[in-house]
Amino acid sequence: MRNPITLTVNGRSHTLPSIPSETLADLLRTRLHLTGTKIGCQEAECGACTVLVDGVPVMSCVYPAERADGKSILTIEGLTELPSTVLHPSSKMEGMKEGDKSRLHPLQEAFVQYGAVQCGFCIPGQIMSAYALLQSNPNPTRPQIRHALKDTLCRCAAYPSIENAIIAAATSLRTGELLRPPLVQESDKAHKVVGRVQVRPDAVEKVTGQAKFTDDLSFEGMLFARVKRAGIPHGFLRKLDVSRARALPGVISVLTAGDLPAERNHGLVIYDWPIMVGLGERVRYVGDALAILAAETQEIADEAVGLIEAEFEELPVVSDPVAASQPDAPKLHTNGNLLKHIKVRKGDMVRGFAEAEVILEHTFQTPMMDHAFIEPECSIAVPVKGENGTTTADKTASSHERMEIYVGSQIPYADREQVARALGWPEEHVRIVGQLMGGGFGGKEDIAGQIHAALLAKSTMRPVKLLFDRRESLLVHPKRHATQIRLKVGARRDGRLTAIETELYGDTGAYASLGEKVTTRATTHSAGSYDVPHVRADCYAMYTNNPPAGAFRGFGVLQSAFAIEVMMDMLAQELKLDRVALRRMNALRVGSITNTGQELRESVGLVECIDKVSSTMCRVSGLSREELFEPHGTPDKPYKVHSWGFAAAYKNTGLGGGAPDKAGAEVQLYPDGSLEVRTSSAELGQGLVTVLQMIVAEEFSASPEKVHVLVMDTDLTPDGGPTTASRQTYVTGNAARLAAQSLRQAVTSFLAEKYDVAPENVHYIEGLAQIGKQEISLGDVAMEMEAAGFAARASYEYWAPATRPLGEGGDMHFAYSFAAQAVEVEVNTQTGEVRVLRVISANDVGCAINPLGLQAQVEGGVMMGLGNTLTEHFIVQEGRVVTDRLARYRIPSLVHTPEIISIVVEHPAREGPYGAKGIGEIVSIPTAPAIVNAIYNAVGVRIDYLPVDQEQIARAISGSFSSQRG
Amino acid sequence: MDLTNIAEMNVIETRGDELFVGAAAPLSRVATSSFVLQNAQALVEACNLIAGPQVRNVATLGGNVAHALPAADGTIALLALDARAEIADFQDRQRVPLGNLFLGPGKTALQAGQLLVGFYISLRSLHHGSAFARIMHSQGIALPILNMALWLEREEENIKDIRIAVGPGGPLPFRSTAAEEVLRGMRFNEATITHALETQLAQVQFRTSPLRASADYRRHLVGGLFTETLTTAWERAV
Repeated sequence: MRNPITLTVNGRSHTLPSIPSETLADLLRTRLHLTGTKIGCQEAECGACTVLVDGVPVMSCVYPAERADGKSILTIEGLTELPSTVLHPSSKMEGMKEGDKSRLHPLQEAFVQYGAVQCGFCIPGQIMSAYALLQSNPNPTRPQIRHALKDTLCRCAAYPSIENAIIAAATSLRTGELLRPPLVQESDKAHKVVGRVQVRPDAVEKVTGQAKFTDDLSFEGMLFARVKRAGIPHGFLRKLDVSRARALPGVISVLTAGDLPAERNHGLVIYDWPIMVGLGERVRYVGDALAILAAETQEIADEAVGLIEAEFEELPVVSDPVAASQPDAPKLHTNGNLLKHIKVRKGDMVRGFAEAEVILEHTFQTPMMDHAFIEPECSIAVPVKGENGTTTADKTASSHERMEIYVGSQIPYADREQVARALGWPEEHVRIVGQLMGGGFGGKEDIAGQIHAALLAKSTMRPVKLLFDRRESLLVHPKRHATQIRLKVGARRDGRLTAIETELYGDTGAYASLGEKVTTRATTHSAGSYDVPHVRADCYAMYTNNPPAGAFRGFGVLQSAFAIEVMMDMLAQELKLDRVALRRMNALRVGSITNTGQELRESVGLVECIDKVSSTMCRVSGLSREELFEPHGTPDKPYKVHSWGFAAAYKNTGLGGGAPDKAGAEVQLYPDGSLEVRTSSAELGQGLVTVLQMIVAEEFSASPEKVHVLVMDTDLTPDGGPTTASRQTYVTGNAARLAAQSLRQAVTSFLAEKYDVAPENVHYIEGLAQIGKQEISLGDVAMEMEAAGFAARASYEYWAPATRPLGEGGDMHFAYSFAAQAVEVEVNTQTGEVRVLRVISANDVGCAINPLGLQAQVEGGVMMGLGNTLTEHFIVQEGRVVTDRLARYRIPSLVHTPEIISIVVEHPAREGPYGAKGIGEIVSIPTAPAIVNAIYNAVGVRIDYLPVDQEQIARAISGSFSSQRG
Repeated sequence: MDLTNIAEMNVIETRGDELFVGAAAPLSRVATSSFVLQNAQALVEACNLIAGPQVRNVATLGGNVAHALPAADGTIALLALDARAEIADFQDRQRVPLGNLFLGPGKTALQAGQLLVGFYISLRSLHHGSAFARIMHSQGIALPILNMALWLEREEENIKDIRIAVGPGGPLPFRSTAAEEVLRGMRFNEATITHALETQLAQVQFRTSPLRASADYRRHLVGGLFTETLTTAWERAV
């Protein structure tokens, strides 16, 4: 008999029975319901679970609960309860209601005000790590902050904002002065609300640990699920024995492919991904599901899944897209291994190369990459009996049982469709209740556990939670496409590009996912952000036995931009031209024709991005343009060499290619004077909710705090379409804007009629309607309208401008964003190690609707690009994932963070809301080639693959290592 | 078994002319101890680089050693500092040179019923200095490509005595005894360093770790790391 555990948590004492091998994180989360402490990896890598034990920070996900016996624990929830001496009244904190705990610890307040919070999943860990630091060191230097937060990872990665927030909080705590606000430039096109700094509506709940993510939810009678994965990359399933799992006490249901009631596959475009692989069927990757089970506890589920035995007839593994394209390669799908051959044709290649005075040809490689969102995938399916307790307005469903899925998903309506088809139910009988997402970046567009949880919930009629562990997350969800890109570039001596020919192979892995779309974008953008008269690009998107590849921030363009931007530097070197001038000369501008035959008629801010980055580079470095790209030794350490690198990029906003691109939004005015905007579009940390809040506030001249935003609920919110392709600010932003305008017009008409004034004489200001000289609060207006039988509600389905399919010419996309980046690196010529010191990032975003959110996206985009280049290496060998733990797939931390200088360029898009276009992806795309170009400028080593390999740099610098032998 | 509550295994204290570091002392305490900084700076440097702060508050020096990895930062520092490990069983206690603890990669000489109590390091005298440094791979597992710890005693412009530990310099935590031999009693200058480096490279057995570093790369890196740690320790040995 074990002794009970007695521990003090946030000042309160608890005595609890001891549970063998329980971690402190589990004790806090499940037994004390303190779900502010997050679990990201369960391998002491990410730091999201950081709590203080007797004053020192520890990773509670690996800390034995028994070891906390007799100790005092402080969690994120406890920070607001600390003695008031260390608390500041948080002035004008958004999201705070009267009588609420209207105080935040200065660290919490600083994280809110500095925009350091995005998805919010890592934030409790960041704040607790920072709090521990400030307890022992009230005036930390930046290096000390970096030392203390080294292993507290943030994938949204607004690390500079995190660091600045900590410094501001420390200052405030030391001096007792109010928090110093962040320095963020407002938009040049600022309106009353739009274009001004606005903190997130969900920031306060995220810094206090009150924000609920899917795994923080619990339902009565909830079961815990696990999935038996194939574990082999290719073969036929010949035997599957689930009897031992089924016999294990506590296991309630075990299902295999034979139990599937309806659709056998899922998929975003093509239904080619088996929900479970059946006997005799083909396993195509290690993550394929063979069986699913639900048990009373997670521990029983974990044990049971290990009791399932599978036997395979293993087949040769197709491990790369070039091998997949060989005629004798094993065929992975009935139509073979070619998902799609994508062609871009412009002009006349023979003429283009004949006109060239220089022709360069080179092949580049980029690897798979993982999104590594800190929140692993989690779905909870809750069966709802028809007669009691549906919350739906849809009466037709009330007689039928329904399934509610709680999940952080980038495309709630696509989830609904796929779950409904799997269950064999009408779509209306499935409700996706979207939850806060701990990062997505494209990796939460496909089905993860939604269908499996729903099938188990249907079979048991109990709620079922399916939480991926980190290993499962790394094995299963679609990755960034690995590519091989051969470029042939022709140019005149003066630098003018004449022709670009590209051949791409994209590894789409075992299933289609969004592979066709991703590789299409890689192909159409493969000649870079340049006006090239003659272009030919062929891309072969190939199935392999690797994990599927799909959407990932940058969506194919990251890969092709890497190739062309390194190539542009090679061309500049060959022609002995200035690399910035070369890009500027060829840059897309208004009047240019893109590769796909689209005339750019407006909103092309590329030249301004290039010019501003170029001049900023000179200003901050004190070097001339010629000197910038030279190697510069460090005086006391001559083996550490600095230089700058440059790259440009462009990226479409919206789906394009002829796909209907639309979003619905609904805006309602309530009797308390508040407004609500509703759309199913997803908030994954990127800040859409703030943008929608600001847009609706702008249209009513109301305070943003009066606008509530409801997203991602298929019963309560209209379809906003997928959150992908940097489209939501533009498409759903417009839907919200137009819905708000429509509501405003309805209110105006009502008031004009009622008060017998001309509609022009109705105005809105500060939450009031002005009718001539009379003022009525918006709340009273809502009541009056209600009393008169009018709904103070409007919806709008916005259709973005029509686009044309690839190959037809015309507008393939309705908007593009543009960017230039410069990067200063330091290369250690002895070891080959690379450090990024400074990044200058200029982005043409049309209009910076929320400059604070934009700043965080710029910082996070650069950091993700830096990780893709220097720290991340997703390794798959013969279809098997080597990097199956976060400890093996290293994402950047605060210690990798350079100084990031953001320059906002605003060439408004005529149809975008207030001129805005997409920003989520463009901010990340130029970083990799800029770093790689800087490395070349520093040490003369040309890198044509990712990630950068320090050993190869050292090898190239030294010529060979053999001379070093003694 | 949770050993972190056994008081003796947690202490860091001077005992006679030795420093005792309990095997269950968390790395963060070792890294911030003024005793350790005063007497074994290489150990402070090593412990400060192991994992991150949250892990260092929990992980112990004994744990770092007991994994018997040839490039464990704590082990390499202790080896250069000529640490003695105290081992207890139900009958008695014994002290063994740290190097005797290791049988192979991941295998220690500790037997069932034996407990690693702590480590003894001679107190630093005048003219002693130590240093630790390492080189990491920017991707993947947080194990060093190469680490090195160095202790030396200085006599005016000569190296009177020296110990050099290199990880991973072989299947066991490696002492560069041949280079030590070359340096002992020699003048501190470039020629000596070059000669010692050649000797070291002749003795050390680097291997290739897939996805981390080739043996060639390790050989290439030794010179820089050796010069760095030697120079630092030399400057500290005033």
